[in-house]
Amino acid sequence: MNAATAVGATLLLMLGGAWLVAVFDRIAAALVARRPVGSLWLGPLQSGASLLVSRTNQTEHPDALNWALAPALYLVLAFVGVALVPFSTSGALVDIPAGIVLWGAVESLTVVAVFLHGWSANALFPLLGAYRYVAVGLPIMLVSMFVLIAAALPAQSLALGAIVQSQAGLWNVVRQPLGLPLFLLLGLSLTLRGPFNYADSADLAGGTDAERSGPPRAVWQWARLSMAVSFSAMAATVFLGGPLGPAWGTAELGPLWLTLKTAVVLALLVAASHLLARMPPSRMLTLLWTVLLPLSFVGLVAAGIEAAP
Amino acid sequence: MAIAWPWLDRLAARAPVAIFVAVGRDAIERVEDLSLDARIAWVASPRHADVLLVAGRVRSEDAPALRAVHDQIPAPRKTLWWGSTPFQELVLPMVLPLADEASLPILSLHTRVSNSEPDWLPDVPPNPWRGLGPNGQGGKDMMGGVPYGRPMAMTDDDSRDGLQLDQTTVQIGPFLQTWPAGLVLELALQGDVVQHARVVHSPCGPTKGLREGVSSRLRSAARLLRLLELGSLAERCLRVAAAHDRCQPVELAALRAAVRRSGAFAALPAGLGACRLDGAPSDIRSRLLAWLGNDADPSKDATTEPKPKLSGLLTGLEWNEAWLVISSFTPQQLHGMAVPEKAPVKGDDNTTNSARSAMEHAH
Repeated sequence: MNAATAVGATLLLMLGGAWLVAVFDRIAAALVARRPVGSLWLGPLQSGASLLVSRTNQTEHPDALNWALAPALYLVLAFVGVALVPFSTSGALVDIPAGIVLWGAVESLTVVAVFLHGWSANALFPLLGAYRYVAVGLPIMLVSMFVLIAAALPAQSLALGAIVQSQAGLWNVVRQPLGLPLFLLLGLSLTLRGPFNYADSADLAGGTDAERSGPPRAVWQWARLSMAVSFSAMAATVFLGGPLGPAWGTAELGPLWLTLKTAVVLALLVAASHLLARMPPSRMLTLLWTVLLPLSFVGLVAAGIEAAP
Repeated sequence: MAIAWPWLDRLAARAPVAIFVAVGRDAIERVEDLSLDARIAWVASPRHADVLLVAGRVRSEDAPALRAVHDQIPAPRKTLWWGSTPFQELVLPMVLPLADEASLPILSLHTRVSNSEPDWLPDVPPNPWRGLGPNGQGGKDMMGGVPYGRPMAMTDDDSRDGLQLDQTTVQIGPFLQTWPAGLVLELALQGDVVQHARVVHSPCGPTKGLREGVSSRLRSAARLLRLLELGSLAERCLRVAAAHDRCQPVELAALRAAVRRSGAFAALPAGLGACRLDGAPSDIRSRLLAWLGNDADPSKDATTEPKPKLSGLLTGLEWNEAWLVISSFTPQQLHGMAVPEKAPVKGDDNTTNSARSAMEHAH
């Protein structure tokens, strides 16, 4: 497979994945609200189209460069995440020896993208969303770092391919039971969803997105959905054995297994974002620093003891 | 900039019509019922809307904010006056009585091909500044005035620890989704912490019955749940309330269990918004629980106890907590709590200027 085909396939995957997340969202919303689903398959496309045909707006004295670039940066980060994921046991689009470190950079740069999106609008609610997101984004990222280092310990490697191979006998979701639940919290934060939606929330009339309309808003929303795909593929790789299938399958079925596992994580992510309440930011900060961060450290110590020769 | 391909337009035309609603007097329940229509999407920001719906009578003091909100809706924008009186200068405004159903008129308004409505306000800076001050930058000395049209954020003591931080004064309201209709607050914010709150305009008081039935309490719960990012659960509350209005039997226990499972009570800090209400101590958790309960009207109309002051309850809270506290009172309870307060007298005109400019931003 040459590079152009691979990039094209990844883009298609992100479009299809984003559509799937939107479909899941519609199903979850209808189930929770106890109403018929309505336009399920075409609905996400119709909503996306209505964003694309609406007019782009300007705020008063925005930071024009960042105002234009923030949605693109967010989308590119989602793309980088997908590119790192090994789709088969033979490798990923970007196969580097420290893949999990680059994913860590994607996490932290997402905080930058969301902050710039809120900052550059030059308006109150987006700015509050930006500040809040940074405040909560930092500790949840630390949690995620501990969780990912713990997952890399049994593999004795920072390469995602090696982490997949280390799960041939036992998936990390069983070996490190704290890992996936804590990592899912990061996913909610990366995608600005439900209990971790501090940036684009209802109490800020849409937060960093409040002053946006037209195609840039479509890109921002697409990036949010794509980041959900990217995160879920990464979670499936690190905790659910990635492309590893049951013993009776062949290695060629790897991409299929990974897709299925990604869809399962996506469903969990969407369910959590519709079912769980969000705390006020200060309460969440207390929970993160005093409970979840120590908990992730305990998980790391346990993984270290287990992996010790 | 917008993309114009015919097939994209056809696809977009089948999406729900995004409406921003300026809620006036006695219209909130009509708007909430309208929002349950799958062909309509009630959005939180005018930037996300296709159509402005002015529902219920809007007071004259809220008219400037209504004009500002209208101008933030991207072109091609349309306005439907639903139980409200259009501005006199408008040519052929679309008007509908509040008793009529609004969904079909909104859909037909949206699909009608016509020019976008022009701005209702001139496109000028909120504060005149060009040519003012020694260098024409609008400032006086280092800090005063409105340099380049915006007041400087001045430092002030943080109420919690006395640290000197930049403070900015903003006006919030009267048209925000799930915000009490007509309420305008002036907040001095450091970061998102409310250092000082002042009621500028009280909410449009309820003129209909003062008794709070099951339906209106469920609607209050829905507004609070939306602030906890539980939009789908809030919609379920509204659906149950609408069913109750149609005299269908409703099962509140299942709804209460669903709210409990969402962790809503755990997410709300205990003691937030604590005050004496109707002769008994209450906080945000107990008020939400009471709204989801089966009991008859818990409020006692005959109580003579003075109501707590809303602005006093908000000081020291983060913005999210402050809005949660505001939403933890029914419109009826809020009526006597949010009475307009006089602006503090200050040496220069910073406060009013900054408040006015923030209005432009925070609709």
